[in-house]
Amino acid sequence: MTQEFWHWKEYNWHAPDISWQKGKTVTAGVDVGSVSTQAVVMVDGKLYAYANRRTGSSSPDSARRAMDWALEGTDLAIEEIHYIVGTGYGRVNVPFAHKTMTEIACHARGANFLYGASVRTVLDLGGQDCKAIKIDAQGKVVSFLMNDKCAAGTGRGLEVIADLLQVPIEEMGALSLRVEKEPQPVSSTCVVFARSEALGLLRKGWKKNDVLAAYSRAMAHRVAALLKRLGVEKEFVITGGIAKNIGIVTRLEKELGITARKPNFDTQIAGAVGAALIAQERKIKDEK
Amino acid sequence: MKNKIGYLCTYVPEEIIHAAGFSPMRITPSITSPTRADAHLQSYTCCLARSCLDQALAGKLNDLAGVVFAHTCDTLQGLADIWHAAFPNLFVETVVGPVALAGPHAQEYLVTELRRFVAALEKRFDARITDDALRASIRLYNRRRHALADFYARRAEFTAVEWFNMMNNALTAPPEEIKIPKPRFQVPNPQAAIRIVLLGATIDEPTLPQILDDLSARIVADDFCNGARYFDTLVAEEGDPVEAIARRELTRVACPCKHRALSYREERLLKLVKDNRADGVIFYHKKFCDPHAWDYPPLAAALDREKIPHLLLEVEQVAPVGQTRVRVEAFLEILSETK
Repeated sequence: MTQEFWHWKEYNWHAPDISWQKGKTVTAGVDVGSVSTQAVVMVDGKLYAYANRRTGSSSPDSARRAMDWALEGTDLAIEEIHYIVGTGYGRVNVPFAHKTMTEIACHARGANFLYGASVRTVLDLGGQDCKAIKIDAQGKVVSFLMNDKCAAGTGRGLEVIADLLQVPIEEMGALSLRVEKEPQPVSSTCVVFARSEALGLLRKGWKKNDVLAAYSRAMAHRVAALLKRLGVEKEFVITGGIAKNIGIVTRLEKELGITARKPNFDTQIAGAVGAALIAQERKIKDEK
Repeated sequence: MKNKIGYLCTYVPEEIIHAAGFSPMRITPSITSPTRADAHLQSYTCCLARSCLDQALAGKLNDLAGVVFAHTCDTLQGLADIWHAAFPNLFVETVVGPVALAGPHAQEYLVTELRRFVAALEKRFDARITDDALRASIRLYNRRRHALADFYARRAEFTAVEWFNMMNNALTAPPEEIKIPKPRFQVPNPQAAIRIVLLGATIDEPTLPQILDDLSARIVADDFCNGARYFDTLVAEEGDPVEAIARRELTRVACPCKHRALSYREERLLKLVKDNRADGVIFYHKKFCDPHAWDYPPLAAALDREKIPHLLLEVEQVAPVGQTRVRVEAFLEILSETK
């Protein structure tokens, strides 16, 4: 079998030391994105279990599979969860959700929880779009901007380039930084054209890491333009899958002249975490 | 004989075309992708110009005796020349109204220009545009403006999609045929709904109104060329009819292609928000529409100063449902936090 270089690691996790039966609120968030789906379960606002999987062709199935996988190995059944919020591109197709919220609100809330209340600017670098979000100390959205071009500045674009260069997607970032001189960025804003441009560079004899650097630089530049339109206030953080690509994060920081807070968790779950926290708020509100 | 004359911009005086014996018909963009117009236009031309020209090139506007343009944005001015080159035998005219509406000679100049337009129509179609005919047309179009104002007064009873359908049908049908529909749905709990002011050049397809209906938001006021800007001021029914038409054109709500006073558009938008107790503003821009793009920074700054939340949507011919919905929904989430 040939290796699929775009494949990122799918996984599940649960906290061994939390007993959900003792919790007042058991809530969940399911973020059905265009590329990946995350399910997060929280007990009294603490991470209890989560899973991160590739989104399939059906949103309800993707949501169900991620949720089942998050609960795997726990004694919690989905029926026991008090409140579930669906978010992401497929939010209206999460059959077991009590409510939906946009991924913009959920990433804001998730970033506030995961990085702390001092966060004011969140950049969600997702599978097929990116969003720059200004938030307040409660993790509420103040204003936001979304990319209106195509997938070139997004995770799907990275997957295409990983496949072309035959570099595992998780190694792309580090490899792109191993260049003697930063090359000119690729010029295309369309991922299909960017791919052709990268192919042209390879044919000219460019090394893989130089091509990666050229692509990452273009991507960082495009995302920086979006952030500059919104205005970047400290603290600045990145959520979504691409936050794990050190090559893009480093170039983005350089272009903006600001350092992004470094995460100690998987940035891909931020949206689902936010959804689970909003679910907790709703549960408490409903009880009053 | 062909009895319709097309136009693209509401600064074209419908009454004069009507008094010449023609039915003025607004040419509106279709939702099908253009195929022929791309050969004539740059890629940075707005979808309105592109789609309207495309329909003409596809032969869909062959029943028009002519097309009349108004001097507003650069694109429509250029389009007039392209239209003339593409259809050399068609009656293609441009009414060049003043840009500075409050200028000391604006009225005198516009009256002269409108009389030139009257003469051009008379010559081309061997017609006679009498003052009596002009007065009758003015009364007819005033009736239509009245009817639309009545419809707007009952706006709360209609959904956003009903509003959209009403306006688009009213402005493409002959003025004699205006009918106000009965509302089919009662807007659920109108007091709790989020109140939006919507503005832009034209709104030509119902994706956004449908999304607002789905999310139970209400359009409480708008500023569109095919919305509230169309009917806001009546033409005086007394005195010289051409002078009266000119006076209306100078005093009606101005679009960003025209200049009235430095902060005219900002003050008007803030008043719309205040008078209608709106929670937020959505700018609905067509990609590459530069008058509205230039208009946006001062309007956005004015809203920021007053702490009125706003959202900019930039769309091409048909707004993409998923992307538009997530933006609108996230915006409404912000507004519902503060409501």
